[in-house]
Amino acid sequence: MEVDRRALFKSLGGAAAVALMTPEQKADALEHYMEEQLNAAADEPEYPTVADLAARNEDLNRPHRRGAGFLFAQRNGKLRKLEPMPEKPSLEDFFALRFAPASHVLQSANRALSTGMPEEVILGCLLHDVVLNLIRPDHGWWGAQLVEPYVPEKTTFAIRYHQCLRFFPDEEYGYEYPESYFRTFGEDYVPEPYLQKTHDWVKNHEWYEYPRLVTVNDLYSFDRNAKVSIEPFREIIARHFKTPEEGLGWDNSPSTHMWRTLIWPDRSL
Amino acid sequence: MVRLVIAVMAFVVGSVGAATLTGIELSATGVSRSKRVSLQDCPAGENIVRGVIRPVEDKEFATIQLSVRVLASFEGGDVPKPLLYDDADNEYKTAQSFREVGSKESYTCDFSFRVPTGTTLSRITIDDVTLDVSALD
Repeated sequence: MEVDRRALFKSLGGAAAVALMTPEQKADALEHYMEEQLNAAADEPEYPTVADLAARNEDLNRPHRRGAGFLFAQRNGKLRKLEPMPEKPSLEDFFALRFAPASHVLQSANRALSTGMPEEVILGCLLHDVVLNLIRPDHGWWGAQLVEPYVPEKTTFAIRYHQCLRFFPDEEYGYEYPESYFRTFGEDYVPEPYLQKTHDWVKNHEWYEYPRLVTVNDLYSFDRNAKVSIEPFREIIARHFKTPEEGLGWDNSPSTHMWRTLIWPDRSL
Repeated sequence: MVRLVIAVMAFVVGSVGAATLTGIELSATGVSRSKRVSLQDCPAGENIVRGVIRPVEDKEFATIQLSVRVLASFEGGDVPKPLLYDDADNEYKTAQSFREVGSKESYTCDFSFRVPTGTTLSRITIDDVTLDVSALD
């Protein structure tokens, strides 16, 4: 199989990131890349089952558990260097210093913007996955909690329930079940009853389209070559994100502590 | 009235192969069926996401290959998503969209629709244009 060296390096975070990898990590990364490419080309790729994924969790030598937020886990074999935050950090500061490169959420919001979606949805797309830097399981609920004091109610609703709706295709809105979920959750995964119940409730809610439109934009936000920035969203953030005077993390809102954890992820207590 | 005339013309032309919609020549060139499809926009970008049918679902993707030629008369603007119809006139939607249609002169795109397994396909519509796909299946 021919390996596109540039594409491989790019997928690993660039030549500098590859240079920092051990030979073993490079071998693993190459194997993973080739497996992905083969699966992309194959008519019938092989996916793990729920049992296969559970078995992988038996490895107690892993650098972190799967639910650890990106800031707390090695990526490409290394932790990210974090710059100190300003005294009164804004959302944009978090994007620059904690969420970067944030390519996925910026692409998602960009698509929502260019297809004329409501501003609450665009903001929802921009923020829907940023909490993954903190924690990954149930990220819809965590993510909504993080921004709830600062954004419109519809945006919170969109972020909270997009995670659940990702498991349920909706032809009306053109949302498909993503193949990546076969790999992440197992080919035979069946959403747990709490997800089924939440889906049924949200489906009948008058604001259903808000989280559903976040999932629709989610499908189109995995372009590794896309050039994105926060610039097009500055006005929407200014209009809809209530930045506290004291800065995020210092305003004593119900989610202040979550922002502080993002500011200081190395605090051990 | 003009719109109606265009619609009728498009249907007549479309049913025999190709049709023109606001400066774009469209023709359906193939149909395939699978459980796993690319969800790239038309023309294809770099989006890597694919859609799948779960093992518990008695469904499949019917994928229509469209050939697109952008004519000199194309003035830009959005092109609506295609809709697929079966022989019982049931309508099916797609997750994919036309995007930056005028970015290339000609290209082919695959639009996939989630349908019950074995559905007999009839036609695809894009705004006022109708293309017969029954013979391609």
